[in-house]
Formats: sequence, structure tokens, C-alpha cells
Amino acid sequence: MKSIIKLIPVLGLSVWLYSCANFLDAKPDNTLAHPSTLKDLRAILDNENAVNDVYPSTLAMASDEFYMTYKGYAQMTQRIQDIYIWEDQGIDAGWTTSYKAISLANVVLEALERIKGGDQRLRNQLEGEALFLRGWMFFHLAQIYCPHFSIHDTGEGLGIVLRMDSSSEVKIGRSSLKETYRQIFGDLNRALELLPEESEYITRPAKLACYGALARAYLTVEDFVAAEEMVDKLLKRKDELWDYNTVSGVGLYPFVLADNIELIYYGRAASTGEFIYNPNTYIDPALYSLYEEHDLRKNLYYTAGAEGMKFRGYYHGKLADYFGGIGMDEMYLIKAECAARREDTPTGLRYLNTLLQHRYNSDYFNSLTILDSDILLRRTLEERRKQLVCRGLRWQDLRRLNRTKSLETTIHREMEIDGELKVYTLEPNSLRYVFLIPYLATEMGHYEQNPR
Amino acid sequence: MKIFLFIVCVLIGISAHAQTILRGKVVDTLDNGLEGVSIHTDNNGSLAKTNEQGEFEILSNSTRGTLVFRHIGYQQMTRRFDGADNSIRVVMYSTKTQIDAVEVVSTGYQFIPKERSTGSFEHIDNKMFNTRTGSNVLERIEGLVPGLQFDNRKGSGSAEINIRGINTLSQFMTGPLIVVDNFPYQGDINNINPNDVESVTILKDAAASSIWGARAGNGVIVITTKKAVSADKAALEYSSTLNSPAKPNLMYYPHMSASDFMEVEQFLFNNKHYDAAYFGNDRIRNNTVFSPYVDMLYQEKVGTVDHSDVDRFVAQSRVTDYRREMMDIFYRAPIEQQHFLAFSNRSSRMSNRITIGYDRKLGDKLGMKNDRINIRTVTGLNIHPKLSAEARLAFNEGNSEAYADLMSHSYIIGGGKISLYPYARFRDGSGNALPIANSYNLEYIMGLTDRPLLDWGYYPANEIGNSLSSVARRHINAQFLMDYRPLEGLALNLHYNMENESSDSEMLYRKDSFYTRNLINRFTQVNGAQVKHIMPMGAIRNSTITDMQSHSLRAQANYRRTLFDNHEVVGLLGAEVFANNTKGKGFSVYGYDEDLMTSQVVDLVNAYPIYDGLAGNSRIPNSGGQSLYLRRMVSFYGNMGYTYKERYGFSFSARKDASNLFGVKTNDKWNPLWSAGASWTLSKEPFLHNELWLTNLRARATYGHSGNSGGVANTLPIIAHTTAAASAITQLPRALIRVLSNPTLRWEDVRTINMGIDFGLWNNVLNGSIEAYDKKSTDLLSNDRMDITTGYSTITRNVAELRGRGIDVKLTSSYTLGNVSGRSSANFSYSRTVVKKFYGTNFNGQNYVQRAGRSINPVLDKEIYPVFSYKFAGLDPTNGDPQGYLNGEVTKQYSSLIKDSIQNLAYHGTALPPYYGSFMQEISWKKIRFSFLLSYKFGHYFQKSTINYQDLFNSWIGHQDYSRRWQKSGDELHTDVPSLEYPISTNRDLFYSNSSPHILDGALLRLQDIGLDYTAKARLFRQQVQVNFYIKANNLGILWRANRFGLDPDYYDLPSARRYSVGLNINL
Repeated sequence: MKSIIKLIPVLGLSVWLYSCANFLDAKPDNTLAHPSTLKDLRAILDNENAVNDVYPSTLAMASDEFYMTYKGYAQMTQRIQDIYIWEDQGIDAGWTTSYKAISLANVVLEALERIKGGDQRLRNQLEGEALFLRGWMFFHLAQIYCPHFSIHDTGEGLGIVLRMDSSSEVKIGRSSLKETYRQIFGDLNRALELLPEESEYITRPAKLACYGALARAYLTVEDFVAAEEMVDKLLKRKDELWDYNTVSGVGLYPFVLADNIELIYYGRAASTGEFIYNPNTYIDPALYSLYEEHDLRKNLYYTAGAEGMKFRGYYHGKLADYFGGIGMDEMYLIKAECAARREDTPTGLRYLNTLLQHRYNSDYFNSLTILDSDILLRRTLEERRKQLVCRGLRWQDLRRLNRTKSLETTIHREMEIDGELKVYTLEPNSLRYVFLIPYLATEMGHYEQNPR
Repeated sequence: MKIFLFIVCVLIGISAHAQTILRGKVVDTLDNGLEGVSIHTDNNGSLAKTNEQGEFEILSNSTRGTLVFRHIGYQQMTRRFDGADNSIRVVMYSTKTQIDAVEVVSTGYQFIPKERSTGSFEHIDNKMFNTRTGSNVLERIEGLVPGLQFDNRKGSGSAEINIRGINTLSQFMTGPLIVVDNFPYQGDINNINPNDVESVTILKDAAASSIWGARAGNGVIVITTKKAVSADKAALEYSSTLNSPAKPNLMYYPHMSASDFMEVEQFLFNNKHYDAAYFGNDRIRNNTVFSPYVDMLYQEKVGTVDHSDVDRFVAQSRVTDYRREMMDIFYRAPIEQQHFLAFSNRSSRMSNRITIGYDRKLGDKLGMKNDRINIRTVTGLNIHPKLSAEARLAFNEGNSEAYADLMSHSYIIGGGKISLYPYARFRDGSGNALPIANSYNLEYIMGLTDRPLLDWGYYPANEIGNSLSSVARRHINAQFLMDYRPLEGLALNLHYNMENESSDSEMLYRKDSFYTRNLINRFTQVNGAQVKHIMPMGAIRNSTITDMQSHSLRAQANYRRTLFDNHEVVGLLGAEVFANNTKGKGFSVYGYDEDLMTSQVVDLVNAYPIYDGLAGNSRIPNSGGQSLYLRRMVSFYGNMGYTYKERYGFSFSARKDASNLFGVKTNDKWNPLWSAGASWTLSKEPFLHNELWLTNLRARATYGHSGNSGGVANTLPIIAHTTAAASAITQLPRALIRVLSNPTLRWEDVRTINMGIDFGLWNNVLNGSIEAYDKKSTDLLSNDRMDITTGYSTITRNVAELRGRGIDVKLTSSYTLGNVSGRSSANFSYSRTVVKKFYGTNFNGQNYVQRAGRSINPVLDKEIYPVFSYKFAGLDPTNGDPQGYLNGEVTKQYSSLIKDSIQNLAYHGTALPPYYGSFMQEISWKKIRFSFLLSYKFGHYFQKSTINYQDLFNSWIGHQDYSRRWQKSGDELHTDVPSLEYPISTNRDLFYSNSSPHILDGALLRLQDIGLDYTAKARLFRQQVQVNFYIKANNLGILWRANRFGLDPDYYDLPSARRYSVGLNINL
């Protein structure tokens, strides 16, 4: 009897509890979720910080666009110092940020397999965006951690880790260079099929962005036919350029994102501000000297600093993190280069002139007349250097062009340390054009290290 | 030998038949004789009463036995005797103020007499609790019992409390569970008025705390509030305290002197350190703060300032230290007042206590103000002999205010700088406010006066009161208990507890505040004569409202009976449901008019250009949003105790909890925990019963498991939806990936073994306890390194096993010498927690030496909160560079040194004192009582700060070690401070500031409290009135410390200020 009385409240409570089984299933924090609806996936892919602001800062810090005085260099973190003088000892030159975006893409792709039904157009778009992001990040990783690859190569060198899932453990090693690029083009081409023609926001990729990305990637692997084909398809849909004669240049930073009609896809370096914005960082004087008198970029891109010229022409108007997305100017330059390479000088020249017309003071601009395709190629490459400053593209161009003896560049870092001039040199095709896999990755994943 | 035995037997035989006369006096705690105390002996019931003076005489039939003293309103006392005695002196304790003659401890689920428990409890009674003054309940118990450690390093207001060390690696979960009147307290503990607190019990081992299940892995603190007086009468109590802590002493900080600072500025100027920014583009220059001296050096160079002006400035500035003026203008000595009134009444059917408390604090900075009102009622009702009910209602209102944005030692002026330059001045000779650079170049700002802008200067002395932050908090707690006793020994309880706390925080930046002027100016567009303001002219007000509601319902059956004389059975069985939701919302208004309470609409959508290109286009900053958090828990629990012949005790308890952990399958939500214990009261054994000196001797042992609720496996990634930042390109809804899938996590488990001995000698003249414990915490969760190829560098994993061992010793002695009585108590605790197993991966050395000892950082075979440093090899005699060891070689390769692996670091020990304790002494003479409390800690280490040149050059964080720096060869023999160098490498600073010379022994002896009180009794309106006056002083200072730098290792920042209090208690 006693025990029955004792049990009454307990039993009563249990019955009440199990009658509302949802009691313990309430979310502790309303903002938390498992990615389980298309809305969740849309939100994941709209997180600019994780999707658009992820481009490796190494691409700007290791190239020859900027130089830094020792005063500034001494203040930099070990990571930046190592990247700047190409003497890395396994610091992270962009591995984590890139793979974080890749994990994000894989989270979306895995969730799409779990989630059944829903608007097919939205599903395609989400899948396309995720594949675009993954392929595009693989591409950027390859520019830092793999040697240059051309379609004429066998591609047996070391590629990157081709992570295809979002688990918290990595069980695969590095792929071959060929596999890496096969995956890059596979992801981007599949994305091209899935993505809508246009997107409402510059932060979301559409077909246009995909053509641009593929054009850049094909150019990098020296597949000029494919690169030109991609540019042609893009230009058929959109070909507007921004006339720099209409940019006032009054403010300190002349380009405003909202006015930039050339912008195809928005992207930004993860963090280069510490390096580029430092008062002791200046633009390479050799680069500055290339600009001619009536070139509007000379003023719009640069301003005088204490010991040299400072860069101010951020393409997206956002300070200090390089623009890592895709712009129309680059497409014109790819078109001109590809045409020059297949010795179609008139076509190449036409595109180059159209671009320059939008870059020079219209009162003084005279179209170029070039008859030799080789001269056109050299001029195009120079224009490429002058136009695409602080875009994370110079590093890739150096790696690519160094393969051709006549286009080689040797780059230097000069610093005055305690009254002595210290010079660091990066020879063309040096092994240091390939960064070491960070020790934080090799210690855990035991990946094969790049040669030194 | 035989003869001797024979004589003894004869003597005993004789005395057994003799009548013994016992005489003595019974007094109360104030030494007043008690009239009418009934006294009897335990053998034949002979009875006597005390006279007016409290004196008595009683005859006993045997020479040995026990006298029992009884008096209404007083606790029953016993006293053993052996032979005739004419000077028995018995002190009787009023039941109102003290109930611990039979110490009863509360676990929050039941009250158990301490003498029957097997577990480890510490009880702080009301008298002990009132040793210290102050308005925070937890602060009052510091140093009073062994095994309870206060880690005050972040400041005494944010003490991290641990009971017997730390059993988890999650920093935010190291604290104990705090229970107030049977339920875990959900509100802010500052809501509770210490005057309402009757006692505090600390549950230290698994047997004591396992009843609290998954939340009790770190121990439990049970706070019990006062109920009505126990006797049938009405009582009134009033108390008032005035506390006056000292003004914060900013001179404690090891700043560098103004002349040293200017010397460095001159040095940097000569090295063109400032040139790049000074001659840089407008945006860089205008956003960089230069000190007045550097500005002057540049002006001197171009000839706008004479050299003599510079000299005059230097002469004036080198003797300036802004801290003195800062203390004068912005700081003050705080004042705290506490008033408390209680009315209590008891009759046979009903009991009642109503209290009201009012506290007011004026803080140590201008404008800091705190008000608190507590109203509390406890009502008990006996409906029927078998049915009773109790209701409690507590209301608390707290209002606090502070001047936001007020200049203080921790104020960050921005523009790349963190501290102020030492020669900063806030007022000129005639008392006018002077501007200080804030965020922008001062020269630039001061040159804007002809523009259509608001004054853009930051004048700290004029800013006082321009911004106001305030929090209004209301807390309601209602409890209802039904107690039904259908059969003898059985009680059925239904217990409901509700809490509701709402807080309304507000940040008001008035129109004249720098914050508002700055925003208005930034969003001003000037186009020729045309001026456009994007921000309205008016104040900015940000509001945040949170509302917490919690409900608990508990059904419990208690059973207690003694069967067949020798078998005592105690048991309880219960179930509990708990739900808590916390809602938050916030919003901002602009162009706010304080009087009319009107505001203006602003455009939060579009980005606007910032004045003069000081920054890129921006949106108006806005704080706002909404949130909802839910916590739910269901528990079943039970416990059983069995005592045989009052000597042999056994206990068992078990509990199962489930909570709404996110991402966990229902089956994994349940976490069962249990404990068992045994006790043996040796002093009641026949073979010891005759050892009269031995009043009490008890041995006990327990074993059990408790847990820490924590993250449990999630098979899918977890995402969190967030709101876009104002600087984002699009404002689309977005989500971030919180964690990737993590399918292999297990619950943390804490296994505790506790063994203890309680003893009392010579009628408890000396009593105490010694306890030893061993804790094994397994499957501890911590952030572990993961392959960054996942995109994440750490993930939560079950990485470690901790082993905690320790000893708690408590000794108390009470004695009387004529009119003087004394009580001494000493506590000693030893506690070490070592990482016994570690499955994770260590980071490189840098992670362990920076801020050494400030985080738990598990490292195999080392204690938690380990203190590591780089091994230091002295200064280079040629240039004063610091040197370290790499592979046994002396080197200056700083980049390799700082990354060196953990095996090559110097390990000093732990930062949490492994040995600590206190000594308390009370001396009473007639109506005067004097007491003091000493506390000590030793065996631990801390890292002192030092000069970091990079921080000095760029952020103005100086350090007095600069004056001891290496300057010429030979200096390395008597200093370890590196030379001044330019440019400086970050790694050189990093190596030096984290190297071994900065690790110091933390041992100290502190005089914590001193108190003097006087109690008087009087008669007023035929009522007896007891009045108690006291003077107390807390945080008196360190009597001895091991470090020679005058540092207080107990605090990272300023040590707690000394505090004096005077107070008064009236009882009638």
C-alpha cells in the first residue's frame, strides 16, 4: 500500500512526460539547426564571410605588386614575414580558410542528398553554387600548394587533398596534380550546367561567374582555346566596361562597389589588411613606372605616401583586402591574350583597345596600332599587370609566364636591416613558388610535403 | 599490578554507590545567567532548575553520567561528568541564531543530521556566515571552510569558485551548482540579500552531491534562507551596515615614467618610426593618434615650434603621471549602505516571516550607483496534523547605473593605441577641460573648427555623465510546498518553484557625448555650402530586454522510521521536471529626445560615405535582434540510508537525468549516476564508551559518480542562423557552420572516493575532521586539435582523464579561561589535479607560455592551469638581446624558439594554489568579541607582466621594467630586461615576455578580516532587546608574499580594495 502511494506522483509525472514527448526535443537555442531544409542551405551559402571573403591572402603578399620597408616587416606576424620573403617553414598560407569553404560546400552537397523534394530550380542553384565554391577553392589551393600545371604536362606531381565530404576526420592523402585539375574542371563545369543564367546578388555565382572562373582556370593551365571559348560565351551575355573617365577620383578610395558595373562575382581576400594597409607598404616602383601619362589609373589607383606610392584603387571599394572575385576587365584581357596567342592580332587588339579606351583620359586616347602578335601578347600581358593590381592574380601570372623563357621574371625583396641591405630573390620556377603544407595539417594528416 | 587493579575495582565499586553533588552555572552566549533551565541526569531522572543567576545544584546517584540541560528557545545541551564537580559551566545557544548543536545539513532535497551522513559536507552557520560584511552571498564564504577555493584572479566580483579542484576542462563549467532553498538558482546570485540567509552547506563528494546528478560534477553550494523563529512568539530584527572601501589605487600598476616614455618617443622619432603614418595618405594620418610630444617634434622640425617650447613641454610633462589626476577626477571612494528589517511570528497553526532589505552602493567610479530592494515572505501553515503547507515569495528589484564611456584606467582611446601616454592631462591650470586624442589624429580634429561639424574633440573631464548605462532588474521567486504525512514515517511532498527575472539594460549616449558627436560628424556630408546629416541631431539609445522564466515541479516521497529499536531507515524517491526559457530582444533609437522620449527614423539599409573619407562607406551602426533559449530537464532520483544501532550507517543514492541537448538522440539524453557510502561511529561502540575524553569519533567512506552535462555527439553538422553585419554586402539571412559532425562523443564522468574522520575531544573543546579524496574524471571534453584540412583547427573531443587528489583538514577549538572565551579554527586544503591521460594533440609552445596559467590547458602528466615558460639564457652581452635554448644551444633564433615544442619548455607548476587555507581566531571577553581571519596560499606560480617593446611603440603599453633595461655591456650581470632596439621583432618580445624570469612564486599570507563587536542587552517596553554593534575591516592586505615585486598574485588587475564597515543589529 505504502509503495503504491509512493509511486503515484512518480507514475503521474512519467505519464505526463511521455504524453508530451516533444518536451526534451525543444531546441536549446532557437538559432541552431541541422542543415535540413533548402532554406538552411540557402542561408549557409549566403554567408558572405564564409563564402565570398575567403581568398588566400598569400596571393597578394607573395607576389611582386607590393613591397614593404623593414620597419613594417618587423611588425608583421611570422606568417606574413615568411610569406613575404618566400621562406615559409610550414605556416598556414591559406590552407585553413580554403578548406573551410570546401567543408561548407560539402555540407551543402551532403544535405541536398538527405533533403528530399523541394523546388528543383532552387535545388539546382544550391548544388551549382556549392560545386562552384568547391571547385574554385580547389583551384586557389592549387595555385599556392602545387607547382604550375599546364594541359601539356603529364600532371604526375603532387596535387592537393581533394576533400569530398564534411566529416571531422580526413582519411585521404594528396591527389596527383592531374586529378586535382580534373576535379577543379569537373566541379566548375557541373556547376555551369546547374547554375541559373543570372543571379540577383553579386555574392551568389551564376553562369556568368562560372564562365569567368573557367576562363581564368583554362588560361592558367594554358588551354587558350577553352579559355577563349568561355570568354566568348560570357561576353555574349554581358560586355559592359566601366569608363574610368566617369570616376571622380575625389575621395581617397575612388571606386565604389555600387557603381562598379564590371563586377561579375564578388570575392575578397580573407585578410590582407594587416599587410597592404600598413603605412610601410608601398606599390612596386617598377609597376608604377609602367603607367603612361594620360592613364587614369595612375591617379585612381595610387596616391603618394611617405616613402613611395600607396595603392588606393581597390576594385570593390573595400579597403585593404584584395578583390578576389571576377571582373569584366579580366575577361577582355584574357580574350586579347588568347587571340594574340593564336596570332589573331586584329581581334586581340580590338579587345585591348576597347579596354584601354575605358582606362585612359578620352581627350588624349589614341587606339594602339600593333601588327605583330608577339608584341600584342607582350603589351596585353603588361596591360594585365597594370589593370589587375591587387586582385590576387599576379602570383598565378608569374607562375604561368615563368614557364616561357622570354616572359620570365625574377623578383626580389630588399630590406635595410641595421644599415645593411638584405636581398631575397625568387628565381623563376623556383621550388619556393610552391608553399609548404602547413605543419598544422601535416602533423595530423601526414601529407606528403612539397620539395624544397 | 594485580593489586593495583584490585584497588581500582574497589574504588569504582564504592563510587558507583555514592551520591555525587554537581554544581555549576548555565549562561547564554553573552555570558548572562539563564534562569529556569531544567537539568536532569541521564541515569535516574533527578531534576533541578537554575536560579535567577543561572546557578544550579544537582545530586547524582552515580559518579559518572551525563547531565542534560533544557530550556525553551535554547538548544538542548549535554555534559558528561566524572565525579563531583563544583564548577560546571554550560553555555546554551539560542535556537534562533544557531541550530548546529546537532548540525543539520541540507542537500536541497532533504535535511540530514550531519552525524548520520556518510558524505562530505561543510556547514556554514549563520554566525560564521556573518563574519564578513558585504552584499554578495558567495563573497562571504571565502576562506571559511576547507576545500572551497576562490579564484579571484579576474577580480573578486567575478570569482571562479571551485570545490576540491577542477574536474572538467571546459572553463565555463568549472563552477559548482548553486541551490537556493531546494532549487538551483536561475537568477543572478546578487539578487539574494545575505541578511536573509540562514546557512550555507557545501556538498563536496559524490555521496553528498550525486542527488543533483549531471549538474553536480563540481560540487554543490546549498543556500538556505531564514524561516520564522522557532519559539511561539513574535520577533523583530533590524540591522544596518555602512561599508566604505578605499579608492582604487591606480599607482599599483607598473607603468613606466613619463620621462622614460618621452625618451622612447624621441628615440622612435629619430628612427622615423612615425613618418610612414605622419606623411602617409589622409586616411591613415587622420586615423592615427600621435602623442602631443611627437606632434611637437614634427612641428619643431618644420619650425612652427621653438626648441625652447619643446624643452618647456618636456620639463613640465616629465613629472606628470595621468593616474593621479585620473584618480581625482574620475574615481572616488565607494560607499555601501545596507538596511534590513525582519518581522517574524509563530503560533501553533501558522508561522510567518517578512523581511525587507534595502542596499545602496556608490561605486568607485563617478556615476556608478547600485540600488537593491528585497522583499521576502515565508509562511508556514499546519492545516491538519498530517498536512502542512509552506509558501515563499521573494521579490527583488535592482537598479544600477554607470557613466558609460567615462575616462578610466582601462579606457581605450583608439587610433591604434590602447593605453594613454603617461603625461596626459585632463585639465589645464585653471580647471578647463583639455582634449585627448580619441580615434583620430588630434591635430586634424582640432583643425576642423571652421567646418559645419559638431565639436569633434574628446574632453574626458567634460564627458562625465554624457553617456549613461543602466540596468533595471526584477526578480520574482515563488515557492509552494505541500507536505502530507499519511502514515508514521512517511511524508509525501509536492514542491513547485517559479522564477522570473527580467532585466532592461539601456545605453544612452546623450547628444553632447563624444560617441554621438562622433557618429553625427562621421555621417555628415559636406558639398560646398550644402550640408547633409544622415544621423539626426539627438541622443542615441540602445535597449536590451531579457526575460527569464523557469519552472520546476518536484514530487517526492520521504520515509524515515526506526524499526525494532536498532534499525533506522531513511529513504526518498522523487521525480522532477524543469523548464527554463530566456528571451531577449534589443533595439536602438536615434535622434532621441530624453524629455519628450521622441526619436527619429534613420536609414539602416544604405551605406553612406564617411566624412572626409575617414572610412569607407558605412551603414549606421545598429544593435538589435531577438533570441530565445530553452533548457529542459527531467530527472528521477532516489536515496536510501540505513543505520544500525546508531553506529553503522550505509547510504545509496542514484539519479537519472535527461535534458534537451541539441542534436542528441533521445536515448543518449539520459545519464545515470549513483553513489554509495558507509559510516561507523566509533565513539558509540561499547569499547570506547568509557573513554570520556573522546566525545565523538566517526569514520566514513563514500564512492560515487557524478557528471558534467556537456556536448554529446552530433551525427550531423550544426549550423547557427545569424543576422548580417552592418558592413555586409547583402543583408540576406545567413547561417554559419558551428561544428562539423562529431559522432563519437561520450558523457564526462567524475568518480569520487572520499574518506573522512570526524572527531571531538574533551566535550568538543577540540573537534575537527580530516578528509582525503581521490577523483578520477574521465572522458573529459576539450577543444582538441584537428587536421586543418577540415577547415577547422579544433573540435570538441573526449581527450583527457584528470586525477584529483587532496586532503581537507578542519580543526576547531573552543575554550574558556575565566571571563575570556576563545574559539580558534584552522582550515587546510591540499588539492592537486593532474592530467593522467591525454588523447589529444598538443599545440606548439607558444600556446602554453602566453598568458601562462590563465587557462586549464591540459598537458599530459602536468597539473591543470599549467605554468610554462621559455627557458631563458640571459642577455647577449654585446647588445642586450634575450637568448634562449634550442636543442640545448644558446640561441637568438626567436622564430624557432617561440614555436618550440612543449617538451622543451620550462614547467613550473600550476597557477591554482595546491595548498591553501585559513586561520580564524575569536576572543570574547564579557560582551566584547574580537576576531580575525588569516588566509594563506602556496605552491603555485604566476606570470608577471613586463616590457614589450612592440606594444610600447605601437599601443603605448609601457612597463616600469624599461628602466632596468640593458644599456651597456656588463648590464646583463644584474638585469634580464632586453635592450631598446628599433625596429623591434615581435618574436623577440614574445620570447622575452614569456620566458622564465617572469614566472614567480605565488605564495602569500593575507590578513583577510578583522572584526570587533559589542553586544548589549536591555529591556524596552518589557521586551528584552539585544543590540549588537560592530566594526569590521576586510581585505587588509598581504602580510607576507614570496614575490619581491610587491605584486598580489591573486589578481591579474588591481587587488580588491581595503574595506571598512560599521554596523548595528537590533533584535527584539
